[in-house]
Amino acid sequence: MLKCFFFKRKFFEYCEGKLSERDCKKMRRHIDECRRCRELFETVGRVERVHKDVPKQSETFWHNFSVELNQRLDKRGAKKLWRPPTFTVIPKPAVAFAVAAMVLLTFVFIMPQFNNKYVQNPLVSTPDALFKEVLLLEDVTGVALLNHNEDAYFDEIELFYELDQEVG
Amino acid sequence: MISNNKQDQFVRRLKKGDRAAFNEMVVAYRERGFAIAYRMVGNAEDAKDILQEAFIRVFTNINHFKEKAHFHTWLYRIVVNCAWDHLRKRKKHKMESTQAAESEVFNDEGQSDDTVLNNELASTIDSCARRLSDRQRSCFILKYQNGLSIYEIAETLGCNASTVKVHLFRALGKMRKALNAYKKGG
Repeated sequence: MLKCFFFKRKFFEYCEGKLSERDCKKMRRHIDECRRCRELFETVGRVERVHKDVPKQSETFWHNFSVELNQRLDKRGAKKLWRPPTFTVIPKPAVAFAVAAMVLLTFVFIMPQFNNKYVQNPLVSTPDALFKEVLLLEDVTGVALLNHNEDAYFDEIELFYELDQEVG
Repeated sequence: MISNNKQDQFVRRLKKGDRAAFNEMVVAYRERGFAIAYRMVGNAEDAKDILQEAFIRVFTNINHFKEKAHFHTWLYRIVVNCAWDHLRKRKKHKMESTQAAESEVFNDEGQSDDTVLNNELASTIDSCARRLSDRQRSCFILKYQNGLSIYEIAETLGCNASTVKVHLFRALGKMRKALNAYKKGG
């Protein structure tokens, strides 16, 4: 015999006609045997047969409905139905900082390559000149080289170049 | 019943901002949406306001529609939510307006005994439905007055099918008592 618990588990599927014939027979048998479940089933039947109809609205009603709806939409400022997807807002100071940093880095790393006279005016243009440069560098105190002072090193190169020009 | 293809088309066009699509969508769903709102609040004027508010919310939140559920259940959910909001705000006025609405609808003059009986029974059911909790009433209205299946109701209300069944059983239990009392009294 189908207990009330199992009856209720399958009750809505039974009402919707989704059970197998075998299960439907079990449900019907339980309805016949159990007063409470039978009343539940009859309640559904009465509710489904008897319900207050929704008053049918006229075309005038729907026309006015549409006009009012569009007025309310316009008031809300929803003229565009579509809103672009919202992105995470990047704070302006961070944007400015990022741009400034990129500009600075550009000037620091790229521009000196074009302004550097050692690039524009290479110290040596031939292998012989390079050899001379090396020899003279060894004669020069080479403090800059020893101290790994790049700026001073370039000063010495500049001095060498000038000396070379005088010698040459 | 709008086909799934048509619903997908509505969603695609609405997301692109197609105003014509919106008007078509309103025409397609206004009757069903009005029926849900009407049964929840009991009068046409409030149902109209609720339905307009629901369509506006669909408008402005279409990009939040995830397309995991069907469009019509998402729309009905919005209608139900708007009705709940309305009921919460105007609880007292709702009782007065529904009583007035009933007296308009149930005019017994010139009607047969069966029709009168039918109307009285419908009135008893409606009266009982108004005493249900929001969730129970929503499940009851969507199931027995709008013909949605258990799974469609679950999708509409954003809960699982078992929860819907529990709400329905509780609603039917109260309905059974009210109808038994009506039978004894009538």
